[in-house]
Amino acid sequence: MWEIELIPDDAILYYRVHKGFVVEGQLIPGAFKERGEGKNRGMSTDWNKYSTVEEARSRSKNAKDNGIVSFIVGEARNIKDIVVEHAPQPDNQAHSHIKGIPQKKPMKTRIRRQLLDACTWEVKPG
Amino acid sequence: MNTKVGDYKHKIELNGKVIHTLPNSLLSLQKSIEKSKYILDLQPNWDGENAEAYTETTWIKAVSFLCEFSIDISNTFAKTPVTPAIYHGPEGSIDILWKTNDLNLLLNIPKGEQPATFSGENSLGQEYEGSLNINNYSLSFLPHPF
Repeated sequence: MWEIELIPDDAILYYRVHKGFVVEGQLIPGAFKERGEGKNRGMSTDWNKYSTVEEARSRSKNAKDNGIVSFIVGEARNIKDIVVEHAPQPDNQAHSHIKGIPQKKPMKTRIRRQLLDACTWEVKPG
Repeated sequence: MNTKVGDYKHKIELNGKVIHTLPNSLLSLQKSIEKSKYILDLQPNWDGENAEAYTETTWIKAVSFLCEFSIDISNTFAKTPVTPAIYHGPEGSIDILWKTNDLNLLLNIPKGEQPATFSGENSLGQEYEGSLNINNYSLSFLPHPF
C-alpha cells in the first residue's frame, strides 16, 4: 500500500465531472458531491503529483462521458470546512479526497457554490 | 404552495397549464425558465450513477417561487432583478444561480418539504447564507439579486 502524504497547497487535484453536470457548456453546482461512507467518504480526486489529466479521466467508467476540472489545493482549503487529504488506493496512488460537503443543508449550498468558483476546466466531456 | 398565478402578459406553462405569469420587465426570466424545462426530461441514471429523475412538482415549486420573488423585488425596489440560471441540483432538488461580476448567489429548492437554502456573496465581500420557507418569506431577510 502507498504511504499517505501531506498534499501541499500548490498541488493540483483533478475531479471527474460527468456530462450530465454540464448545461450549455457550463459546469453546474450540482457537480460537487461526496461519495462513500465513513472515513472513506469524500469527493474523489487525483493528485497531479501522481496523475495526469488524461489518466484521471481514464479512471471513469466511460472517459468520453466525463470531463476534468482542477482545484489548486490551497484555494480549496480556503473554503471554510473543506479538508484535503491524500487517500491512496491500491491501484491509484494519486487518489485524494476533498472533504467537507455536509449531508445536511444549508452549508451544502454554500460549499457547492464556492467549489464551483474555485475550479477550472482542464478538459470538457465529449 | 399557494401560488398566485398573476395576470401578466407572459405565461409560464407546463403541459398546457399556466404555472405563473410575468410582466414585460421579466421577459428574460421567462426565457430562463423555459430553458430549465430540460430538467424534466432527465431520465433516472442521467449521471451514470443512478441519479433520480426530477418531478414536475419540484420544478413548479421552484419556478413559482422564482416568479413571485422576482415580481416582489421588481415591485418593491423598482429594479429588475438579475436573471438567474436554473439547473438540476442534488437529490431531486433545483438550483437557482444568480451570477454577475457583483453578485454570486445560489438558492436550492429541495424536492420535499424542507426549507430552501441559499448562500451568496457580493463584490463588496459581504457573504450571507441561510434558509427560508418559500411559502411565507420576508423580502427584507433575503439577499436581493440586483
